[in-house]
Amino acid sequence: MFQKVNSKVVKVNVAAAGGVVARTGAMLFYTGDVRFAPHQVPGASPMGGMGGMARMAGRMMQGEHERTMMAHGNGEVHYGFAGLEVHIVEFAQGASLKVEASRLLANTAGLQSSVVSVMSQGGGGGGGGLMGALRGAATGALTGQGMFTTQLSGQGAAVLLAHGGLIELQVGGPAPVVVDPQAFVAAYGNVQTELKTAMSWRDAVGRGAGEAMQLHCIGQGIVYVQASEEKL
Amino acid sequence: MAQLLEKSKKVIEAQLAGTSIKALTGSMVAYEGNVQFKSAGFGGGSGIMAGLKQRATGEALSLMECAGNGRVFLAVNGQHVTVINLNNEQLKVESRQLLAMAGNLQTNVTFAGLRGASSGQGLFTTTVTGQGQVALLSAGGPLIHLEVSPQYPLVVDPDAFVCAKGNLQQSFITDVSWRTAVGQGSGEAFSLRWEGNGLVSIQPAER
Repeated sequence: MFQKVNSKVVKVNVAAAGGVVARTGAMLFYTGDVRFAPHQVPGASPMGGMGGMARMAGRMMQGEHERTMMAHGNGEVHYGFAGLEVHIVEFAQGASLKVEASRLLANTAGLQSSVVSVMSQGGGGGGGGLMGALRGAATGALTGQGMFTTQLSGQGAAVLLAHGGLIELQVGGPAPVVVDPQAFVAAYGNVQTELKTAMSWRDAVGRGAGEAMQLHCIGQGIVYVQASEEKL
Repeated sequence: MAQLLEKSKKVIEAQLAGTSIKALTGSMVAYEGNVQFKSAGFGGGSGIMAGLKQRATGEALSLMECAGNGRVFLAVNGQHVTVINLNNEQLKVESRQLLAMAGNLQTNVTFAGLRGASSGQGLFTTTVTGQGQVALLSAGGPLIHLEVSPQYPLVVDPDAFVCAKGNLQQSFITDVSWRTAVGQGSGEAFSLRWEGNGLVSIQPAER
């Protein structure tokens, strides 16, 4: 559905893709008759009569949400953002992709998008209840990644952004895969991520190796890592 | 011996099999397998003297040792990477462009003459000697290798210089005139001149 024009620009036929959701401001140009409208993920919507807790949760989740727009109509749209390299992920039936909202350029409208808590990815990550929530908050504060991540599932395609290009690492082999949280872009398939500290007394005295926080990836799938530790 | 490979244009893959490499502190983006990271001190060698030397010379090069079994992926800021093989040779390298080292290599900080007195590059340069592999970073695109032969000396901008290999003499050219003093200089007041036989590598960007 998406097609790479060069390493930093993708084009997509909006009609064939059934609508495209993309980061606001990422449209470069289009041909044909395409209309753009603001788009929001359900969780972050202030509308719909949600009150109280749900609304609060929605607001909390807005940290994990970039402003997006929906493209409808007939035509071809070109997308690119801040000169960052793009990578297209085609979804196999029933697959899901967990991606930082800031690293998602566009996805076909047919994909279900939800904001999931980092802790609820299971795998004994943070545990449940209040302690789990606290641990998640601490994790977010330490890595600057926030407590939530966007999950896409269904059938379609998505485009990832990366500074310095992406490498794909297969998860599920005999050896565990560990990623620097700042270089982590997305995980495709059934991958659980768990943040661990590898801190020692050396870090406390400023003689650490600079790799104190590590994201352990377990399960089956692919992890996308960018060639940079720059935040988007 | 640990191997360094170019996994992509901007990522180095280091293969460890019970061996270790030295890499720029904090440059790991991912690893697979069982790998430990610990600080390996500074480029001037090891121990307290090295620490003092680093403070004194300003050649800031902080390394970590990655040891174990598996694959380590290294990248810095989306910069291009290049692996250079050293066969009992000496490589002069700008410390900020050094990403990783594998094999039997020693680093040292040597006095490079008065070249850096006012270019901000420091009076000292890092040298790597021995047998093994060195991974270098280059901003703005892949490294450009320029050959130097006795008939063709080479002059490079110190801000673009990355490394030099071979039997080379380095000298420092100043082109300071009254124009520089009144702010009308060409912006190329200081240059590095290389003579002899060897290879000089530069990056397509100035620091």
